[in-house]
Amino acid sequence: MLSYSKDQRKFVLLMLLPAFGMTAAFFLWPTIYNIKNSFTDLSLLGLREGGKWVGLDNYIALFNDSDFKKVVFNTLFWLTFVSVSIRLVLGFAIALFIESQLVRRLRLTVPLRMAALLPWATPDIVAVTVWKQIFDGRTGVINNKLLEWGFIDQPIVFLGDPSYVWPAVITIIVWNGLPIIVLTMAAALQTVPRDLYEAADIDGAKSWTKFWHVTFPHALPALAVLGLLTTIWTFNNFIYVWMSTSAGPGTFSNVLATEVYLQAFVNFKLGLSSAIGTFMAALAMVFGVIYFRYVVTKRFGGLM
Amino acid sequence: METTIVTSQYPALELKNVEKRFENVIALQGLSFSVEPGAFVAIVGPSGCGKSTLLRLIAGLEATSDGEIWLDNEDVTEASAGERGLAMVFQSYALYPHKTVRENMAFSLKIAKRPKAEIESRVAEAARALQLEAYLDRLPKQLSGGQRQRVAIGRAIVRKPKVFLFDEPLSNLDAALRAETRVELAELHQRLAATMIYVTHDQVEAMTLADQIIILNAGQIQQMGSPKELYNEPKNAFVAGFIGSPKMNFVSGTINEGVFQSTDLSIPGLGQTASGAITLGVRPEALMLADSDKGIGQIEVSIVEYLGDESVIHGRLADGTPIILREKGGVELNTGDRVFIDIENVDALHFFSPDSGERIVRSPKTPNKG
Repeated sequence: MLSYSKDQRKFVLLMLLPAFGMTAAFFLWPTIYNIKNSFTDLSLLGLREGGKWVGLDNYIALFNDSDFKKVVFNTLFWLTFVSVSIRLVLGFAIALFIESQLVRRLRLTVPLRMAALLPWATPDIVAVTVWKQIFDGRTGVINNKLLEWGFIDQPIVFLGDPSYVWPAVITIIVWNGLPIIVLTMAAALQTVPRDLYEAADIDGAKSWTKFWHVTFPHALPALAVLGLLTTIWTFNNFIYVWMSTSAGPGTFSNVLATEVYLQAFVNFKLGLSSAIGTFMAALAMVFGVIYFRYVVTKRFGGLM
Repeated sequence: METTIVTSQYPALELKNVEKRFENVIALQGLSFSVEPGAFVAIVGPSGCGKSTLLRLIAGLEATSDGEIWLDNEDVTEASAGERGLAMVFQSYALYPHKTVRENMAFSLKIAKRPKAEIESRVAEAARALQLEAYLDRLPKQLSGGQRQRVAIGRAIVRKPKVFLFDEPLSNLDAALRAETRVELAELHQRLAATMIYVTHDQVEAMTLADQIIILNAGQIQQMGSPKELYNEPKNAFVAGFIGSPKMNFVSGTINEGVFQSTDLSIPGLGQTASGAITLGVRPEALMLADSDKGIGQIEVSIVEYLGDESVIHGRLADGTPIILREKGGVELNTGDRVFIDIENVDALHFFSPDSGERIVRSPKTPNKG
């Protein structure tokens, strides 16, 4: 065991101080400031005089607001649950295909892995901008093709029509967020020992049985970690919704991250916006706790 | 299909002219042999000789390029691994890491949709035989190497297979455990009276366990026979060198009028009429130290390994040919000492063709064998 002398310990603390100072200045202080603001009626126009203490009024207002309930639903269901589920299932399926015997026999495994990387190399903002053009009601390639092939008579404003806006936004998120799932799952699949499949062959297992009893248990820990991480990353994402729909049409696709922005910089209600931010942080912490429970404490039995 | 455990009049396993090619490389060539029901057959050879490939062909994990594989009078050449009714114990054990010991052993029976009661009783029976009862609810990672190895064997036993296949099952165990498990395997074979095919690179395992040994080299069978046959009458220099530890000594020389002559050795009284260049093979245990001036020649000692009950003396003839000999007990020898060596019995000498390596029968022996 290593043991440190008093001097060494002092030195270690001294070296940790700058990092701690930065963290405190840029994360801890804003957090405290934000929580404090959430109990005031601070306005963007009245920053100098500051806000008046209003207690829990902001929070009570939020929970009594049916529009806010819709924002929470949009965030948890559409933005997070649906998009994460699709990414996990589709990503795993693509990874299974890339690592399959067929693709290996055709010697396409490596080229396909490379191809899967491509969307990842595209910055979110660029991806959303390009997708907006693809989805465009007048000039978009999808509408042009659908009209050309006679599937529709009138162009569809994908990002402006309540029936299409979520599927369209989720398409963008899935496209951009798929690579990390595909590549991580492909890596996880490569760690499955080949002789387990052979043992299963001898035991008389068919493909489906082999998948459930050999492949899936090996892939599960990676899938669980990816699920939790993408959930946290997506839940507080501002770019996808704001860049593609600006929370519209109207506030139809409004989510928590865009609501924070709207309340603060459109409605100038910094106090209310801070309360939403604090609420988001509390929700994110729930995921965080689960994440630490299962991943950091290695619930997955050293298979990681 | 009912599992039957009656002894059949057909060979448990028969290979007919089996060949395996990978792209353009011939891995196995012209393999034909048959295994009697209840036999323990070891397949040995150096690494890369094709022995694991051969086992995988029998198991159905690889397809044959040519030839036929028969199990109990049934052509299984085209049958999948699962259809062949074999069990295999892998070098890595290949236990399902997410399943308990019980689930690991029951898996094949579950797939075969056997009744629950039967699965339970078969698993219990195997667990009792292998002293795994206390570990049935553990995961493989919670077991020691030796226990995992027993689970792998248990998984095989539970199936009551026509043939057991073992792929170097002991190579991941430490020396002490290996020796112990070897004995357990021998007992298991006797108790189950099952046919077992056992691949190993360790000739000691093969010699101690097997009724029949197949020596494989460069994809071809060098010799198949009982351990005694292989030891006493190796068909060629490869088999002679492979079987026995330490290895057989080889000395090139000539034979003429019943006298073997090399640069440093001279052995008379061989009573052979053949003449010309020849390779002499003599096992370390057939050599002994001689009193000065007597014996067949002289070696310079390079190292002595003292093993307690015996000593293994490594030396060289004057022309550099290495010679190993075993002596009972300890010997007072140092590096650089020059000592005379002798043979205990001319019958213990082997002769091989220097070109083909084939065994040359020394002389028509007096017909008083067994």
